[in-house]
Amino acid sequence: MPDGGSRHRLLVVDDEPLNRELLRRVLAREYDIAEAEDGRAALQILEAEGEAIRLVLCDQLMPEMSGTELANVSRSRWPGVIFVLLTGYDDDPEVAAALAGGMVAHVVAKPWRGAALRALIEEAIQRATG
Amino acid sequence: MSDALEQVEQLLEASIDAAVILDEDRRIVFYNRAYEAMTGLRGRQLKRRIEAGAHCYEIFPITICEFNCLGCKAMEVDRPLRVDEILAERGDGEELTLIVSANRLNQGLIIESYRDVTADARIQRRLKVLLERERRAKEHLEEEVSARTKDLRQAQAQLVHQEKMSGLGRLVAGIAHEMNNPINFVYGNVDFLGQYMEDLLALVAMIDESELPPALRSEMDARKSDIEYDFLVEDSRKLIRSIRAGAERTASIVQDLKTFSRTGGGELQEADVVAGIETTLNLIGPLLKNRVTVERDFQPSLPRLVCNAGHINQVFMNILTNAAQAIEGNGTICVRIRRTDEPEGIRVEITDTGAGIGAEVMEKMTDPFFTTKDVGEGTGLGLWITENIVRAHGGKLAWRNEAGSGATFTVELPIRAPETARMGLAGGRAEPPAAVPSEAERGDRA
Repeated sequence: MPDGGSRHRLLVVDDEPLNRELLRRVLAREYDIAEAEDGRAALQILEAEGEAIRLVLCDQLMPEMSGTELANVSRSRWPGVIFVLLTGYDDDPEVAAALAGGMVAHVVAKPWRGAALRALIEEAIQRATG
Repeated sequence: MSDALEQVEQLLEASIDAAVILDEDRRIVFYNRAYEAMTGLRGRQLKRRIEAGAHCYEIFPITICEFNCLGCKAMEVDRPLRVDEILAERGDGEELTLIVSANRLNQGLIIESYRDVTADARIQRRLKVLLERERRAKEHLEEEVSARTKDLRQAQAQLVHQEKMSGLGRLVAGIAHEMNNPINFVYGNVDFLGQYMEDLLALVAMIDESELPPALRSEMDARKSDIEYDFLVEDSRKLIRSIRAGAERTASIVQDLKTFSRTGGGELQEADVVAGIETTLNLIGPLLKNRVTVERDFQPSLPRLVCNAGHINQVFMNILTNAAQAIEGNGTICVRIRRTDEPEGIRVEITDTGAGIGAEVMEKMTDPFFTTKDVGEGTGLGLWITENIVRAHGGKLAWRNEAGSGATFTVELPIRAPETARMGLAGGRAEPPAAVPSEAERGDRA
């Protein structure tokens, strides 16, 4: 839990509703969750809330815009927002490039375990906060 | 001299064949011009030698004179004789090929004639050589054509195999990816289900321990016995465990398929396979610890192989893991590595002291999803993947039972793997799988 009792706000981006539901179940106890079903909806939320969104949990393969594309667009405008990619293709060159270039902080291979994902998110936020 | 003889002489004089008439002592009583030309002696010289009483075989020796005088024979058998392809040497040293014929005349005289067929024979020999050369050329051509045809067939078969594998790879990668989301729901949610259930059970336990009006208590007890409450609690926990195990197993099948259909990292490179095997033995250390002894029998200075190193490591990982798991209790794994000459490469034999391979298993060993392991322990893809990798490397995988107990797996790998080794199932394609309908419909990654 962050200092001062205020909860960090996370944005979950996934075109698969059952995945969003699962992520909410895993994370809702510790974080405020916003949901978007694709990149465009995610950008609308970021437009409205800016860096109040602490971290984006994002599926890589989505219609219209991939996770790495979303990360590229949003990192230039809201550099404080941390990106974590969830993907079945952990060897996708696009994903590897985004990780190497610092566009995304972590890549999580599917299927993931709730406890590990929570620990990873906590650590990523702590590191970014310094 | 009789008229008849004179007539014969006239006839012979005009003949283009060389001819002589001999008496019983093989002395020449008549010769024609063609004979003079054939002996290579000048007319006078010839005449002088004949007058000096030289025998025919002294004047013009041919190969049959010494042992098999045709004239004598003709006398003996009293009929005309003829021998083809007789060799003779003319006075100027040139070798001649002759047809010789002999016949008996009256008064003990013999007539012999010699036809010079040297030119014919030469032409025939030349012809024979030419024919032979042509036959060989044709034979060579046929060999060439059949070798080329074989090469082409092999290349075609390889291409078909490659194409098939490539299509299969894209399909497998696509299915593996599509399965990730549903597995994720099950995998991620089952823990919550378990936790929620424990919370609810704790609540029920709390109620059980609370003071309740006796009527309510007995109603609850009746209800509990109706639904077999204790069994339900126990079985629900089991259900959750088995859902989790099922999801984990599905996840590991998907992981195996993903590893094998992986598109990246398929470069062929020179690798120390022996070092790779050592690393693998370290990695499976926990399976061996205090239980299985590893014997190493490595021929010194083994060659390095040009191969898809990641895949080759996977091959030995699979075989060594199987060997370790085949041994119940204590035992030994023997790893024997030898250099091979034809084709140049190495042969790795891995022998375990386990129970060996059952007859019904022998055949199905490398079928996909065939496993003898307990549910949850193996995906049944290990040896299938192993065989595909070895085959893609132009190598051979074989297995046999050892007398007594245990089994041996043999992997033969050439020193330089063909291009097919680049790919797993994916056929070495660099682009992510695009052939999966659902992905195409979703239209992502534009």
